[in-house]
Amino acid sequence: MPEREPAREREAAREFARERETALEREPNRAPASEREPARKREPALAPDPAPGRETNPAAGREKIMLASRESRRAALVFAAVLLGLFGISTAFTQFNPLAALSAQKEFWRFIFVDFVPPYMGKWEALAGAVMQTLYMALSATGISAALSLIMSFLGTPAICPFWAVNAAVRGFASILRNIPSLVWAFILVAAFGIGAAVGVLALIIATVGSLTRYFIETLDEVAEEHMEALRSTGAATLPVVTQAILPAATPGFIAWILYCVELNIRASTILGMVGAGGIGLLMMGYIKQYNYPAASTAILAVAVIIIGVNLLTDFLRKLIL
Amino acid sequence: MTPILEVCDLKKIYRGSSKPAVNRISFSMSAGEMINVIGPSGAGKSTLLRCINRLTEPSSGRVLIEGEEITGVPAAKVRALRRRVGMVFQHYNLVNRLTVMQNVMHGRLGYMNAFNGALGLYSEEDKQRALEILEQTGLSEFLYHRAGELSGGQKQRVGVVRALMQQPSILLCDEPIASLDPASAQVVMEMIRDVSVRRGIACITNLHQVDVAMRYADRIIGMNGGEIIYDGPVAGLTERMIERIYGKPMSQLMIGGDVSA
Ligand SMILES: Nc1ncnc2c1ncn2[C@@H]1O[C@H](COP(=O)(O)OP(=O)(O)OP(=O)(O)O)[C@@H](O)[C@H]1O
Ligand SMILES: [Mg+2]
Repeated sequence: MPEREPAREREAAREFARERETALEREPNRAPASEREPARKREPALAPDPAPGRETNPAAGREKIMLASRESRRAALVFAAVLLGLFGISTAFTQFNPLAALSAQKEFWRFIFVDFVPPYMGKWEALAGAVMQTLYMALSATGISAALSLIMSFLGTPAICPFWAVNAAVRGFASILRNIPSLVWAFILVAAFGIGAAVGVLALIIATVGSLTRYFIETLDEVAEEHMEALRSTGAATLPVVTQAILPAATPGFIAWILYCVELNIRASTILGMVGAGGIGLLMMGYIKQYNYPAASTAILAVAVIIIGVNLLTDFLRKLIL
Repeated sequence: MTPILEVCDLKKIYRGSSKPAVNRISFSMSAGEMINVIGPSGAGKSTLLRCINRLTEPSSGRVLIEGEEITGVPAAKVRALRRRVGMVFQHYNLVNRLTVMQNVMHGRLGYMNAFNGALGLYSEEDKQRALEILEQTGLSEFLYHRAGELSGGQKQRVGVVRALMQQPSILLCDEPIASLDPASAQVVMEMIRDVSVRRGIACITNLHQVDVAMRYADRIIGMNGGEIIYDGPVAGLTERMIERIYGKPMSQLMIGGDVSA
């Protein structure tokens, strides 16, 4: 046991602290100078000042009290005006005419309600098969992307991978992938490999890996910021810190992003189908090209049902897990 | 007897800054000593603590842990020495989703090989010891609670236990009570003092409240502008000295016991 002489000193310290406390009690209204001063300067007080000899409503007969500075209000006005102007100009350039849209309504509604209704489907097996294919495409693409993104995100965050050049390369690569929409990838791939669900999956993976890597890196950075140092300070090496602390802490974030990508990919995979990448989109496009509108509208309804269903499911999972 | 901790002429200049954050810092500590570090915001208290276990890389000077130099040695050696230096953080830095037990066991990771560490295969012996410490600190009822469910005071106690699992000879506490209410703060400070008295661990604690610092220390280090202004027993910390450390008259200090403002 180390010797413990300073008991007396501790006693002295306590004495000192006690004195201080009583001093504070004697002067209970003392607030720091910084808090006391502005209260007096704030003349047009919102609450009436009870001090005698003063008007009860000092704001009466004076200019209105601003809640924000004049400059910032002016800036906001200018900003709004510019924004409105831009919308106006853009709309003019697209030659979108709301009146024309209204007058063409009859044709539109006829098309929808006469050609498309009632939905009719001769080949239910084809429809069910296509729906399942779309789901498979989205799920498989998201799963594979998640695995790839996990590895890439480890390499992309400086908290885990200490090589600056690797971080930058991964981030750059991910940015390129994600900034080209999956539809464009599908076009390129269909042109190269031909029609099929596998091509659709590939297109989805390329675009999803780009986004998910980015999201995963963000999540990891956030978590590492909070935990890396504390665990490093125990003398632990990087690998155990990552598996025992960073990954568990990042899991909810990862799952949230994966569910988000499932939703995105369900939507994307129906559209990809329309350019030849298989699934319900391909089926729908076929019906439209054959002017088989009742069947096309059934396919459209199926798309809506899938998307709504998947969103309900992911919402449920989110609540369950997070 | 070699001191547990020895700091010689430590200096840290952050990149892009011209003024050193800490400068000409020398002191040593023996087993079971409890030092509280006080000083205004920006005085360099955190920098000093973080230089001791090299979470922040010192610009010059030496730090010796139980006679072994941690400065200027390769990363593997730094890791080995860090195991003997526990650290407690203002924001606890626990993994909220993991249980108290899992968080506490993190203190052992530094002692395990990469394979066992990565898979979290802690030895039964270590787990047994965790149970004992949790029992002693009154935390055993929270064993399987998620850390995120605990109160701030409980979290910080778990943070201290995690550090104790390292079997450290030094404990560094960077404002351990700054986010706590007064009652929890007292419990945590008492726990830290207990660690130093009963386990003979040398504890350095950064604090913003002078009265708390004086109540729980053997020795006070007062810092200002990166340098040590006072290093001595609590009894020697006069009001004039406190004014020098904080660079403010006494009347502007001690309001609500917090002099950080
Ligand atoms: N990572 C950093 N990069 C650059 N400058 C830093 C960094 N950390 C701290 N500093 C600077 O170093 C000086 C000392 O900071 P430090 O955090 O050690 O002070 P402190 O005494 O712990 O203050 P506080 O009481 O506010 O926590 C400050 O001037 C601060 O701005
Ligand atoms: Mg600090």
